Amino acid sequence: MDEIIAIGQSTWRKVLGMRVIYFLVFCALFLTANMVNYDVLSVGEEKALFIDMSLTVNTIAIILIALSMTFDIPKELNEGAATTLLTKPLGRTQYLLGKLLGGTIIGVVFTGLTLVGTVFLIDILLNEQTTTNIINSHLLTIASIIPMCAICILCGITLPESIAPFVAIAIILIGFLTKGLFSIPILYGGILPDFDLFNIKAHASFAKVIYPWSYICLTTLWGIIYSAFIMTIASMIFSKRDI
Amino acid sequence: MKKSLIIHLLVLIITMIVGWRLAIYLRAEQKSIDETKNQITCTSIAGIDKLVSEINWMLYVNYRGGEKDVNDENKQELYGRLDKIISANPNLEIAYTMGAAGLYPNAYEQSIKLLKRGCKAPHLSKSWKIPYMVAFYESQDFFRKIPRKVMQDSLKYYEMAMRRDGGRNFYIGSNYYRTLAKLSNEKDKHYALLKVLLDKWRETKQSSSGSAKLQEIQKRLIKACKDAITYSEHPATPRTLAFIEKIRKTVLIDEHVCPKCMTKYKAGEKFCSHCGATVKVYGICDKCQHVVHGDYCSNCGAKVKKR
Repeated sequence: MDEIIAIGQSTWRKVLGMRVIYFLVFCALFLTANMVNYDVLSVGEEKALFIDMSLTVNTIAIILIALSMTFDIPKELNEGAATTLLTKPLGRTQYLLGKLLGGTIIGVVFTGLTLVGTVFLIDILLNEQTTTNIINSHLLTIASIIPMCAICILCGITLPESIAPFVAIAIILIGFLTKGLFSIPILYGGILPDFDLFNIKAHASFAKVIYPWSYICLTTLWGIIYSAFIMTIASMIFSKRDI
Repeated sequence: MKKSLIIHLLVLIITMIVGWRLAIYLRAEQKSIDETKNQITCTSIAGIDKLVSEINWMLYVNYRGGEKDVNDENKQELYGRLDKIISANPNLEIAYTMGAAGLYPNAYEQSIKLLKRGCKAPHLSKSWKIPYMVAFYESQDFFRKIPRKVMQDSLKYYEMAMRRDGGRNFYIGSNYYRTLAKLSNEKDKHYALLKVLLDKWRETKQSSSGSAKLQEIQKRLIKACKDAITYSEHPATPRTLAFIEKIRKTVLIDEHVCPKCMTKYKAGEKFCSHCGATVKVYGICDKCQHVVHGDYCSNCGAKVKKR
């Protein structure tokens, strides 16, 4: 466990130490806050625009953070940093799990800051209270980083650096469309991801249907289980790989 | 076989099965929480469809603002843009209401088509504005002669709007009864409306569907009588005046309205404040003629006779 945390720490410290990350959070919030200026052009739909923009910014941030894993791992392998790490008494599975933990922490911190900023802006700019639906939509978006990171790590260790991000983004996008495969046993939800489970964004600006906490927790649990499945495949491939 | 490989395979199988079962459970759970999710999340790629539709809405407003009017050349383009918006976000109410208002009357078919789609939108089932607009556009012949069949169709949407509104907006009902009057083939508009309202009053009284509904129709009858008497462009015909008298003696017998102008008057008033006609005084003490508010006169203390 200590090894996983150590690898994870090296990943998140490296990224979270960069000031540009906080500038990006500021930019994301600035972009979201700017939506209130579209009250005339949207004919009074600026509130919905504001909420949807905050969710979209968070979704894009999550995907980008997960995709950064497809660059980070091949880079570490090429530069020999991973080789140095792996010569130490450290398992390859721990290395991958550490990377997953690191990526997840970066995503949670980045999007968590955006969520806190959004809640603050809703209060200040719209003079309204943040609804449960907005919070739940953001929380599920944040939770989706876990399976997305796992997919990106798998692509990062199996494919060349130039192809891995494209394959990873393709799998993520397909993951939003797999609900049609609902009736196929094992394939749906077991082998192929269903990211639409994390998508309740359409409800964020409608307070008509409220998703309960049990749904949020179970969807996060599914994300963790699916990540475990992907990480097991990644670990099996990585253990055979000649570094 | 190596121990680690067995563990890996075991974890792989367990996570695959558990993941599959849990995903199926969650999909069913999602459906039970909101059956309309698939309808409102049309293109679920990263869930940004709503933002895309809102941006398209702003582009539409910008485009519509740049067009001088709606004509044969641009009506398909305008409808196409609105169609794109509501396909991505069927709950954007403003796209139906303002969009249709922008298309009407030159692109009449398109505006009706758009509004009828809005009536079916899953999360707009409480919006009375959309069915009201359909009904209004289908029943008002300001710009064209409306076929009888279309006007009959409008009644369905007026009823939908009244149901959704819960009787808060008086004018929805007013337009509904006016449309019924138009459909009655009676040339005298005042007479037709009064007849429709009287029939409705009788129907409501027989069905005993609540005193609130009966009161509402009585209120409408008073207003229709008053309009018929005071409307200078089309003065009431003798037949209409006789009909008003009939209504006054049957429906409005307990209502204190001026026999000349149908304005309601208060207790103790001797003349109508609107037309000056003499009215039958009510609510006064028999002994001192003071207006009474309870069982005893507050001026002389006499017990008030119940009538």
